[in-house]
Amino acid sequence: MAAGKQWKRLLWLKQPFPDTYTDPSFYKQWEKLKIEHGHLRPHSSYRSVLLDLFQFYHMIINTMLLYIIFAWFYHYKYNPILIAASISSVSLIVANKRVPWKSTIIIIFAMLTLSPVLKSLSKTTSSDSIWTLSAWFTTFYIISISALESKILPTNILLSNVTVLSSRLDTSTQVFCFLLICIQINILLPTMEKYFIKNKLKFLHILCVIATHGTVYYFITKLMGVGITIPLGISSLLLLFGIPHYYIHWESYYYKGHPILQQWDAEKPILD
Amino acid sequence: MDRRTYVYWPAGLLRQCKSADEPLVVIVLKTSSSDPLVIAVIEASKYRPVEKPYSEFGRIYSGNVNSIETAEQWRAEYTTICFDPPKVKMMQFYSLEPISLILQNPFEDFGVETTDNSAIHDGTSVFNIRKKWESRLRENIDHLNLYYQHLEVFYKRYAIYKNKSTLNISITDLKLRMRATSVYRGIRCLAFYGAALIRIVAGFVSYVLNWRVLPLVKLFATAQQIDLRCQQLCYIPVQYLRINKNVKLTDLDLRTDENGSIDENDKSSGFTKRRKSHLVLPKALPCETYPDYIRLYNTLWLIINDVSFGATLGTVLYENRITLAQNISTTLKYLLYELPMQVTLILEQNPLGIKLNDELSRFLSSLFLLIIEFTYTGWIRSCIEPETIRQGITVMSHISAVIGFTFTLALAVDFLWIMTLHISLFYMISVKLYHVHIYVLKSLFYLFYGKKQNVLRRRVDDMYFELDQLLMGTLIFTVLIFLLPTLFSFYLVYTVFRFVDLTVKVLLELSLALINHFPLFALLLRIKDAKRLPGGIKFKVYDDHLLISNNPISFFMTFEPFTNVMKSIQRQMFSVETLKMVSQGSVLNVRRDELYRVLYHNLPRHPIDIDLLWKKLKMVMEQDTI
Repeated sequence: MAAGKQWKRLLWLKQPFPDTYTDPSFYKQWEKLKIEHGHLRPHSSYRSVLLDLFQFYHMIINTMLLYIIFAWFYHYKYNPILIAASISSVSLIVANKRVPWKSTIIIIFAMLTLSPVLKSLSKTTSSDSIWTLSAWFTTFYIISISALESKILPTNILLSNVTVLSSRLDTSTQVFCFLLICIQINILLPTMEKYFIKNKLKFLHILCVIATHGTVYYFITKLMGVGITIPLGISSLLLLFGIPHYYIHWESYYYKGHPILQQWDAEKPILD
Repeated sequence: MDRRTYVYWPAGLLRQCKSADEPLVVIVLKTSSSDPLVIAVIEASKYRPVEKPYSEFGRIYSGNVNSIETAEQWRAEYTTICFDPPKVKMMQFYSLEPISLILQNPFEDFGVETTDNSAIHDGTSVFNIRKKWESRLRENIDHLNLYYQHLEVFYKRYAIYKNKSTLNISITDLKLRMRATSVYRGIRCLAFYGAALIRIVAGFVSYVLNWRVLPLVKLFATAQQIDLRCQQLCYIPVQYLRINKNVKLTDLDLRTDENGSIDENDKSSGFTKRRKSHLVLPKALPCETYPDYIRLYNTLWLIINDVSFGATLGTVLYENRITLAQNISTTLKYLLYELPMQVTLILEQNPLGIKLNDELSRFLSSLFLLIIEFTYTGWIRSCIEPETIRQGITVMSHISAVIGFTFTLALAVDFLWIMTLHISLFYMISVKLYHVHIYVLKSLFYLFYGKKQNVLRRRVDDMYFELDQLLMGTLIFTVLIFLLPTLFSFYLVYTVFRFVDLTVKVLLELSLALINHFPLFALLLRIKDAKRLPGGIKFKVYDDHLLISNNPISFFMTFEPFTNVMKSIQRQMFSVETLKMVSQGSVLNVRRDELYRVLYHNLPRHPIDIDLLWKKLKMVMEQDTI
């Protein structure tokens, strides 16, 4: 209490007190701040975080649809034309105005031409390397679609993924159908969902979401048995509801830009 | 003016002074622009005063050169410089710049680095600066070079001082008498008409070979060889006239510039008569004809060498023709047919465990195999048969005995070129494919990221692509990426083939160039009499005087065009740049005619005008008969 000035709880500020000085009003300041700012909720709401996370989860599920279709052709050897025709008709109904028909025709013909080429492209590469490659492509796809602004790179990565996978298929028809379906699903599905959201068709939107999730889980059950699906489902639910808590905890206590925590440091460090 | 004076003493006179007993008078020659040069040393008893430009320098009393009692006008600090007078008749002389053995090229536009120890390659600026600073030294050197002629003029003027009886046995008389005979005249007439005829024929052949629409010279080594010989034949009379008859013939429209003139004082125009009036001081040596002399005899010697080589090797070839033909036949068959075929087949079957795309490799292999089969049955098989080769060797050995070895070598080069046409074709196909592949890949890679290369601004811009463009682009990109290893392996194999092919050709052509342009004369001259090849002057410092001596051209400099060519080849074929070109898919090529243009330095660009030659020859003939 030698000087008349009040001790400030700031670093790197030259104050006329010795280094070991302890201000008596130290604890009182801290309590005051807590009361003042305590009623604010500096963190985001639980609900918004949950919704964002769910969106991310939904996107992963949509990506897995691709593998389901691949497994249909590769493992189960369903008739490709049937599936392709049904999905194409659905997409035609949905997106008759959004995608120009010229592009569609060009793409279809290009794919028709290149299907045999794609089929024999990496025949000498072993299957394992193809699966690895595909896994990496999927990772990059998910990262790029969440992190980047542009839609071009993720689309291209997806297409490379599909191309790489299609070299494992048997006939050119399968390749063509596979390509077609994947493009339709991954481009048209988001378009459809955006349409739903814009026009506030909530019920349809939820229906769509449940349909996709249900397909994926059903398929996992069919392929790998219930023993995998149930733990998977439970763990994904847990993660889905648990991660927002963790996120909020982090945001409350560790995020810089926090009003209380910011009180420790001066704005600019003054180095002598 | 406190300038230090130098007095030039001939070495012989210096020795004479040291061994004399009686007092001697030293007579010097001094012109306005040079330092005094000691002409003669005369016993004091016989001395009579001399007039300008000669003057008395001083007297030596006891054989000690250092204690000269100088006359009044020479009272100054002077330094003795000793020199060995060059014998003009043997074409020795001193020079400040190295003599140029080749006609220089002022427009060095093919990027060949020049060695930096040759002042003659500098542009005119350095030469001019040197001229300004060293003009006094230059004048002195000129006088030194003409020492014996100055002595002759001095003796003509003051005959009393002549103590040696110059036995000029009338070689000139003999010459005159020989020239009067009719046999000589007949031969000379024949030579005259022969020279003109050769000029016409050779000039025409050279013109045809260099025809702008279809320059055979650039395609075939044989054509180049013939062209070289024709041009040399056209140039020989010109050189001969210049050397022997002192006829001033400018090389109009030079392929290169002649930089042999060291004496700028040379005012000889038209006809310089050999005999100078005894009242006029000799001005300068005809130094510019010395390089011509060297070049002319070099050419002649090389041609004779060529023919003798050809005769020897021709007989050797002829004697062993059967075994030689057999061996060559089997080797060529292996190299040109079996090896490419084997390699291509191997490539088709996944060599080294590299996984190549099946269909593409099959397609490329079948393509190349087809070409190999086609060329083999087309012309290679018939040319490689031992019988054909044996006949070829016979013909070549006969030709080489007559025309020279270079011609056979040129024929061999052309034969090889035709035989390896299919390998060049493979290389061209694969390099073009690879280049297009890489180019498209690069462009599509930018598309992958949503960018496009803006060629006008040389940068990469963002661009909005339509959906179909994107999808198509990505599909094609993936396909191309997977096909790249296959194409690259084929490309690599054929690049190696091409490389070996180019190396062999370059080696053969280099040896051809070596035989054609070897600086034999200059080398032997350097060994025999280094004073005839001056490359500058050296000063040696002793206690009481300096010694000036000739610094002959080094052996390295005589081979300069070759080292330039080698550097150029090395840069085109064995450098980091080559690797870059290979990875980008640019065509590997050796620019033949630019390389060998370096070696054509001894010849002017066009042969001399026929009219001019006729006129000069006639003039010379008429002058001789007088």
